[in-house]
Amino acid sequence: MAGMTIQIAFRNFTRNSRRFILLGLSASAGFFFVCTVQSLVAGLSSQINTRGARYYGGHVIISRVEGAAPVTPAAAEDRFIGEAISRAGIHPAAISHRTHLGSQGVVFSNGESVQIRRVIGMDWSTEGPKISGLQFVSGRPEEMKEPGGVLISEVTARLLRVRVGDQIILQVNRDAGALNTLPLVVKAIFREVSIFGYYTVYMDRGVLNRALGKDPDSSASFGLYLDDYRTAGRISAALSRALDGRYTAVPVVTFMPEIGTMLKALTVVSYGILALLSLVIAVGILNIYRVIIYERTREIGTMRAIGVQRSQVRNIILCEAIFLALCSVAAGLACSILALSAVSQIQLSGASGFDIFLDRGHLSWILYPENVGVDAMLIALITLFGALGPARSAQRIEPVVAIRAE
Amino acid sequence: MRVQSRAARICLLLALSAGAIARPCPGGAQAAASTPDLVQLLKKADSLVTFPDSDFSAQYTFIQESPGQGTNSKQAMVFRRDKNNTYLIVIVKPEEDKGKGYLKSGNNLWFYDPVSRRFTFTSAKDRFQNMNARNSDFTRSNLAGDYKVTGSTRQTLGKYDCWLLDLQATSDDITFPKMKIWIDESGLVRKTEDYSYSGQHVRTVAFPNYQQIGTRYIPQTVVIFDELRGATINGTFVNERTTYTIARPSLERLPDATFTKTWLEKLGE
Repeated sequence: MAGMTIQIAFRNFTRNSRRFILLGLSASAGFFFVCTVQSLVAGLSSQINTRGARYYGGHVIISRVEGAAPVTPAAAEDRFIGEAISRAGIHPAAISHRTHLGSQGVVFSNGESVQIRRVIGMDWSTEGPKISGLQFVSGRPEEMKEPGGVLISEVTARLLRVRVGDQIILQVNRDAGALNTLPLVVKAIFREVSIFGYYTVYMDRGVLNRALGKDPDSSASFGLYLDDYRTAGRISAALSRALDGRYTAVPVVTFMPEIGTMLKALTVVSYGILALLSLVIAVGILNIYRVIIYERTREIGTMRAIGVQRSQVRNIILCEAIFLALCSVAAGLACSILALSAVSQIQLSGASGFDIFLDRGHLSWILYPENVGVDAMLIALITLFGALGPARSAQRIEPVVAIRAE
Repeated sequence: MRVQSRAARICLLLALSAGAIARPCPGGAQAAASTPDLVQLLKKADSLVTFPDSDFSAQYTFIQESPGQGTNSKQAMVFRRDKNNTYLIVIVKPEEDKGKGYLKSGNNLWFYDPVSRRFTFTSAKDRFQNMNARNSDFTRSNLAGDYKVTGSTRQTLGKYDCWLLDLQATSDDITFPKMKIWIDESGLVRKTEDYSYSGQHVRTVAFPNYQQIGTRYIPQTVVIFDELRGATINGTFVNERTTYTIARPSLERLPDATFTKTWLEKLGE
């Protein structure tokens, strides 16, 4: 019976396709819009998280809680954090160990100096693949395997008038305050947006530690790179519990509160648009379906006259609505992918202030299957909801009255 | 070439200035052929430019020369009370920086910005007003306490017969962990070369002339050459440098209120 219902519904849907065009267009337009906005927001969020992770050393950052526990040797810290990660059941893609210096670092070359906002000491062996994601304009970043190398930004290189292979001098203050300098060889030059890169240098952690007068194996912070940055919040919470209050684990967006707020706002706006569109589509479907049912009164009456049950009439109409929803989703998805692909080809490098969201000057987008699934389900439910009232009206139509209708 | 030209320039500067001032000879020091007590030499160098029994105030004029970028000048009033290891500096020129100030009290150093009316912690190791002087340059001299002598030799510096001492900081919180210092026969510091922990030469400071105030001395002019900043002009590296002159020195006692945040705020109004 169900098979026959679907068969009839499919036949009706294909034969009356002209009637459904307007409905299909509105539903697919809604799906297209929501899908596109969500994919763009996901792309922006991913860009920020990727950049933030490179800058801060992971999607989840683990820091010592001052005074919560005595400072232990580096190996003991590593063991404790490693065990906490295991206890929390976390499987990170990589674990970073970092030493970093705020705005006290200055690099010199050719008589020029540049105040560095963040001097990052990292281990190439573990973070190399992540740092390699930077856009390098010259040099071989893999040579960072050898200590004594440094990665600098294109802006810093221009100010210092240096090229790959040149030596620069990094000036830092040792822990107690004494001035120290060390020569570093530029291994590669990267292009990165202002807040994450203009005044950032990447160098070997052991070399930086020694320059600062610290234990070469010590770390100021630890980080976890995750396969899916969206799990950072959940993993941070689980890890914080496992760290027994001696360390805190926070998602990297915590360090970028303004950007985090903006991303949240964009997400809320996209859901707001989704809710508004859902309402508009539901009302539209309801009205148009009423018209469609009215136009098909004789057809429904005929079906009833040849023995089709009331519930079967309702189910046929609902099945038609589902076919409509599926076609709308497919069309909306195809249009969304086409539009996103086209938009991502546009070079937007000159867009000041927007560059932190761009990937090599282009908008990036991510179509998460689960988002598409939820959106498709929503469109299907709205279509069904819109069709339900008219379907109920249709099942109540008396065959004699229906056949008599003009 | 770079080092030679710099050394020649400093010698020239010292030689020129040596004839232009009445050279003091405190304590009637005699040129000693034998090695003196080097710690005592440092103590003497400290004592000649330190004012433990009085306050000190003077007008400092800074001229920063950045090769290829022109010059930048500032004027400040400096007030020191060495017995409390405190100083107060207030910028008086140019107009846009007027009222900015520094207050050092013990190990704390605050920077005051009259625009925001806020005090912020700063470090003695930081550059003074983005010039080649450091905030620590204005505090009392404590060479004998901060450094130990690791080597000594006699060297002529212009007209001065000097002891050249290699110094190493006694603790890790001294801005320049290594230093070469030229002390003349009278116990006055004529030149220093400041080095980083790793031994990088980071700046050279020349004291071509001093002015006597009572039994003490204060440099008349100080020239600081930044060894890492500068520009190549016509094929020669020219260092960035800051010259400051000290005028209207006074050892008059200052009111206690001078060394307070309130006074700095008042000056900034």
